[in-house]
Amino acid sequence: MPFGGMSPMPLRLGAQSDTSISPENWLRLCDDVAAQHHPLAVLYIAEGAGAGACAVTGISMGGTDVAGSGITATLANTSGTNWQITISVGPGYIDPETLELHRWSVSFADPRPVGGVFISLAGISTNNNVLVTYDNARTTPLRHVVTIYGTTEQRWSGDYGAEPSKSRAGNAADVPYAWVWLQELQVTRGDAFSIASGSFTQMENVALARGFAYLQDIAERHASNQLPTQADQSLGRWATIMNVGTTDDRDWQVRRKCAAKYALTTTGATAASLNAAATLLFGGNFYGINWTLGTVDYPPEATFWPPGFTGDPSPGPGALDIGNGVWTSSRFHFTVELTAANEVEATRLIGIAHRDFDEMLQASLPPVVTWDYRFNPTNGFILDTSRMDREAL
Amino acid sequence: MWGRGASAGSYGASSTLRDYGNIGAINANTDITSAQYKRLASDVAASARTAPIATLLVRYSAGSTFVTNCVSAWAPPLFLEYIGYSPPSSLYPTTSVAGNYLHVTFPSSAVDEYGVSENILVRIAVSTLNGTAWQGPTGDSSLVIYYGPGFSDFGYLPIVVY
Repeated sequence: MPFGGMSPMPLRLGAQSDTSISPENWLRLCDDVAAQHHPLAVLYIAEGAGAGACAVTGISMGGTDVAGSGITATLANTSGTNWQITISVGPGYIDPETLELHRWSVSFADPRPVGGVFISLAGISTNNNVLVTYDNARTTPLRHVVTIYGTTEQRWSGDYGAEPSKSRAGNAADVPYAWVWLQELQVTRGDAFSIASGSFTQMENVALARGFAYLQDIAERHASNQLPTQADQSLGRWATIMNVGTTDDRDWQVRRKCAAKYALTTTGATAASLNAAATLLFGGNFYGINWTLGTVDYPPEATFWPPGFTGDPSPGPGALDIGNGVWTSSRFHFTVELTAANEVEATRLIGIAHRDFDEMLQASLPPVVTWDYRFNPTNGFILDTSRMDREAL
Repeated sequence: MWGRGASAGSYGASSTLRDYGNIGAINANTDITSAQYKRLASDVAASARTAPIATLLVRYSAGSTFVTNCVSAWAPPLFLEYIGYSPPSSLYPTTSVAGNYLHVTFPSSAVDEYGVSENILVRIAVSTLNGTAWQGPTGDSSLVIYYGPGFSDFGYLPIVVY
């Protein structure tokens, strides 16, 4: 049950019902918001008679009137009959309510001259400057409508508190603690006291119920902070304990890393805990871990047993003999398979893999174990790696 | 949304919104904090400020110019092309031609599905046919497009309205 006197913020996710918002509801809402990409600004620029500042009006993400927003346009004669307008949109937009600066980066622009058929061309220079150049000689002052596109600070559903691993608050989501306390207080005080809205006793009931619920929240919060997946206030402490870097990471990213490392630490490095850690860290981009383990009696084919090993039926391929009687096997190597929709996503995942997951694995696995990463192909399959090969059939 | 009057506060995320008792998330795996909600509302408001309020396709020819397709923030999309000569003004923006100028007029206001009325205010428009240009006005429920060759020949004119 979100909001209201009985259940103020934070919003506790519940079952999908008339009185609560479910984790699935919230994830869908946040994913849809994160996917919205509208122009950074749509500007109306009026040139003066000659070189100099132009009048700029229009809309931007910072407001419905760009006047005073720091967006400027300047007309300059570059050489001879060549003219150019430089539109400076600044480092970002300022949220009119919070007054926070949200950085943006201009990618391209669509300039259209008003009142004529001149063609303008646009380029983007450094410092978010849009350059509009004349194809023809400039004769009279023109006006332009320029639509500017680009990116703002990266939006993630996690910034809004939405993650696929989110679950409903079983204890308090659909029936807030305060509501339960209020019912109790009304009953225990008996019918000698009024429970009419606005009566002194009922106001006292409500105040006490909210107070008791607050104490219950504190107790639950204390319990939640014992696990990194649930921790908020103690997240920094968890990052220190798990030795997880927090530079440039958002809270939810730090939480994921802590949770992944915690999964590896508490149960030791088993196939199950490796899968759990990778799922936490890579989310929906994790496909699986391919690990040819075999058994002690029947190790993978690519295994070398040192001569003289007790019960050694065959030494295995000599090419695997690295000397000094070392036992080697492909069971010491595994492949982490990831999926990525595009190159940008793949780059992000590689960063997580080599920056975070490598560090976790190095701290959790014996030094002889090695691993690599592979992006699962979207068509076809890789023999002995993909789950689509003949063995899978 | 088409009135562009919404701010984060309109979505319940005023700058003073905070978690009760300032305790943050009770359980980060089940809760949405006021800070997260404020970020969501702020981003929605920012996106809404530059979202097109309507996208139109105008068919023009000598003696007959009208909107054939319209996607707007205040009404269901009209993707089925109108093929007559007198589209109902209750559904389609009305148009008129005077010389080289095309006038498109929207209803002055529209009511959302919750019964809240907002004025339709065009702040800027982009006509994407080469040689055409928006002429204003700003803050009105109408817009004017200039086209050098005029609107007497047959053609289509796409317009994105902000």
